[in-house]
Amino acid sequence: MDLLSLSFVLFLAVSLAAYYLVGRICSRVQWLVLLAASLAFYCLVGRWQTLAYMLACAAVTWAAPLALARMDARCKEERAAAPDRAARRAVKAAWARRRRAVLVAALLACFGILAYLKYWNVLLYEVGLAASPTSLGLLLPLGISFYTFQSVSYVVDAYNGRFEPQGNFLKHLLFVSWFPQVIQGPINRYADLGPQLLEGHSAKGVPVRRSLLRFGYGALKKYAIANMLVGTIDKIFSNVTPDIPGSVVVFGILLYSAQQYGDFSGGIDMVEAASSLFGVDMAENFRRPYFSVSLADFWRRWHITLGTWMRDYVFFPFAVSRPMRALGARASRLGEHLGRTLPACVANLLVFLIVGLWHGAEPHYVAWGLYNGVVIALADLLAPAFRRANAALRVDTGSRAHRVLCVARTFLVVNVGWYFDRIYDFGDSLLCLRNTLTNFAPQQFFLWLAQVGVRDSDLKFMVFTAVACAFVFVVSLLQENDVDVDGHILRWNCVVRGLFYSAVLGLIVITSFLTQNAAGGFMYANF
Amino acid sequence: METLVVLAVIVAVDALCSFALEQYGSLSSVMWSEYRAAAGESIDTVVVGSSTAQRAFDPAVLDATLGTTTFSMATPAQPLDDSYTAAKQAIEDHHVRRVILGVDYESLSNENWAGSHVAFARAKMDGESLSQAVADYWKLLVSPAFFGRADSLCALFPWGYNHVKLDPGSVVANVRERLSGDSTLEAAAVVNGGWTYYGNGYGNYDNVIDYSLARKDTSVAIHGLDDFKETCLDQVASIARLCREHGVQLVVVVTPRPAFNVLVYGEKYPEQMALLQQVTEQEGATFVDANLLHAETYSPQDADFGDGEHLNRDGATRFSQAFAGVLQALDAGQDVGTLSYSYDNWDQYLASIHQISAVVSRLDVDGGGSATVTAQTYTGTDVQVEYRFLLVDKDGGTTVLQDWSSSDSCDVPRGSHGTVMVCARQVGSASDYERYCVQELPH
Amino acid sequence: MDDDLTLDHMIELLEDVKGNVDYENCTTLVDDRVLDSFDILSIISSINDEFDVSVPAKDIVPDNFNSAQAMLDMVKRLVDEEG
Repeated sequence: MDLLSLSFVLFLAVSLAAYYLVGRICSRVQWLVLLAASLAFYCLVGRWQTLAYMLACAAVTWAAPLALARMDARCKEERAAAPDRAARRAVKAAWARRRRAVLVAALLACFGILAYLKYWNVLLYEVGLAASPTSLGLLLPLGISFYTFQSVSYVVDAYNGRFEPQGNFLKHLLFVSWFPQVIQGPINRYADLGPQLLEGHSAKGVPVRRSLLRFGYGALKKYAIANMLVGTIDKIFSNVTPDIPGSVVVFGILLYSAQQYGDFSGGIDMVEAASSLFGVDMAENFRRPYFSVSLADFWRRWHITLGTWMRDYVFFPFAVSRPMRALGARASRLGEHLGRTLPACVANLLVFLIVGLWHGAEPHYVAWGLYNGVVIALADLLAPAFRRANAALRVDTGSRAHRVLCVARTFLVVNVGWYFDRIYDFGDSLLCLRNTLTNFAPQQFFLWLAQVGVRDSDLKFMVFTAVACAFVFVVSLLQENDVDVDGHILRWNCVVRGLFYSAVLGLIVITSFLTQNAAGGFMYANF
Repeated sequence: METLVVLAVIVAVDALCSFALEQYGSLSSVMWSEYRAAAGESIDTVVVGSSTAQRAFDPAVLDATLGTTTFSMATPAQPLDDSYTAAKQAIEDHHVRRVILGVDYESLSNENWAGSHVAFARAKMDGESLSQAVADYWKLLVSPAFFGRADSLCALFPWGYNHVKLDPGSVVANVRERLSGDSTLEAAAVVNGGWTYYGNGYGNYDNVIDYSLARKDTSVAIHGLDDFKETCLDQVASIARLCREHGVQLVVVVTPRPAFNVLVYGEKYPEQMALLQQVTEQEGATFVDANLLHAETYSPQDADFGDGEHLNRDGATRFSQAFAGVLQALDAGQDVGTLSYSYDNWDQYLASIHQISAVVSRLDVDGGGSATVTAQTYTGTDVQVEYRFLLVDKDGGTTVLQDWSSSDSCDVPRGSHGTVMVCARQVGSASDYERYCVQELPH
Repeated sequence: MDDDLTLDHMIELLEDVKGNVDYENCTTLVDDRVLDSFDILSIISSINDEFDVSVPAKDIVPDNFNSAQAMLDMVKRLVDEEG
């Protein structure tokens, strides 16, 4: 079921009608409609056979916090009964150990399922024990990475006493399975999402027009940009040979830049919009990442919820752990800045190693993760040097020109990263990087594209993509300057709005037809 | 209120775009308008299927031999579920006795084109009552090929699917044609240059295939090579069931092509087609692969084909005559399976080809820059082929790179420009070539 | 030690880590992304040096770092707990 399809629209319509109808009768059970819709969606879109994995994950992450809460109560009782302070301390320490054991067991269970389904086969293949990365025939459940991370955050937060754990399994299951997030995130936090799912909503307070506008904007990015480019990118990078011209590589990577952003952020826009129709606002996942001024900034704007997850559950805990503090103390003898930043840099490398693995177990993903980690770590370690250089050169770091320069530089750095992300063979990634610098060969550009099967019509039709990109760029630029673009559009005269919507719809219709149906170049087949 | 205005504007723009951009005079609309025009006449046989069926069966030729009244409901890229719709309509309207379903490999291996679906449904809607039209279109939107995909929403903007070229000239011409008062039939003749309508839903072209372009002309080069889709086989089965339930005879016919376009599939062809034959016969229908008919029943001539997949008008006439004979045999209770080679004995079919159907070539350039042209012929197993390679420069002057020999590859001297002409003939022949192709050299 | 635990002292510490910020009035240091996670680690490291107290991972939440006052409150609480 595509998000842009009659079946999804009907699914939404039925779910919304049921939701608000039940809300009128009894808002206390309104959430049950959301749960029913989520489970139905999971079976419709994913494979129902894999539902058991999600149920298992939900069961573990529901039971563990409850067990922790019970242990807290027992700990309190025993401490109250303890004769002296030393005994109270001993009781506390003993229960702390047990609590940690429960946490570790829950995490192992969740990540164990994820690792087994997502990595085990690839690992066997890489060490030569499996015929192919999919030879075990394991079914990867829809959204497993997302719901696993989301549920784990719930367990850890509960462990840290952030909130009372949810006692009702079905309510917890709704948090794990909420259908708009299950396809591609965002990774929500219980404290933000949980209450919204469970409280009653009435149709009145829902910003329908804004939601629809956002849904359309997402569809434009996904269909008019991402889907239009994916075929060409594939043709370019599945034919990497030693003499691939750098100009073709750069073209492919730039297309990937647009495709990746259009696909991911467009899809997120669509599910965020769907969720908000139920009065449930999910966490934001993108904030115009290509306007970042540094790679670290980029990762605060791209896949935001993965970044904050990593920050809260990997980066901080690891960076303030005892060994890292000791490392910082030792490094500070070499310099105060080094002492302060070294633990952060090491933690950061770990984070990006995991981010790389999150995308897949293949070596090129690991290389991509480490590239990001190393660049950010170096930028931080060398920050004082950069500051001194800027001061010496009298660079006005507050000026608009400097900002534009930083944005351009970051875009470049991000794109170099895409070499490792998109080119599925690590050796090929390096080869493409080399050819970008040493064999640009612009005169071979069109010849090469023709050779790998990119048709003239593919290039010609990219004009639609260019129009969509220009539109997204302008909207993003306005949003960067704090303009409420949606609000402006919704205030337009209704005829103008109708024409504007027609134009956007037209672009989506044409590109959707092109990408799904005109594969053989039969755009004008005259049936 | 505001929302209504916005919606009204969107609908108005949609209608306007459909008027201007949607192809006027599509072949689907010709078929449906002619079919409706024949409402009062008796029709006892219909042909359904895609363009290969549309251009293989001439109803007049069939009827002259068989005394039947045949109408062709085949349309370009007609998906099998639309063939079902057409057959069902004809059974309801005319109680036809026989349905001929013409297919080729791609009818069963390719995803349906949403564009032809939409064009077919729109053409069918044209002469229907509003409620029937809405019901038909709704059925399209919720059909399995559309429902879960963007097409199910985008097809609310049908101009996106079967539109004219998006340049001002084509759009103006389309609008002018629509306003001119021409019927869809007249418009179709204008739009499809070289196409002639012969009546009973049948129209065809007169162009003749250029065998030297076979490399680009094979279906595999155009569509890729996939296995048959389960859903497509199911659709054939459901057409067969529809016919059986109504006591209608169904004949599933794999339409004729030049031999090279059968051989290009290799072992896939007998393997996959056997599946189709099995499904067809299981459901009680008759199966005929025209490509496998013995030479005494049907043997196409070189000039019978318009391209690698379609017959031209003369070819269709000849094939229809031969096929009428097959139907006569069928009517006489004969087992038509005996008229053709079988997929189980593929070698017999391969040995039955006594001609070079086509020669194609490929160019390999190694790291050092030296180029080799390699030829491949599509022919029978018993045919002995020899090759000659000529260098053709820009002015048309030729030099022999390698004279007649059994070697199928030839090194091109460094610094050569122009093209290499690859000639193939059977050993013992004295002709300049039986087939040839042209290999472009890199600049 | 306790007499060192003043808002002025905390602001001084923060300015040492990252200048050009209005620590006296800003209450959205994390929410508005004035401080990034590297800054926060630097602050934690400074707090460790200055007040001799270590901030555990579970206390690294936006609420504890959104303002100088919040950080001060957190440090006071941690000192109490350790004592």
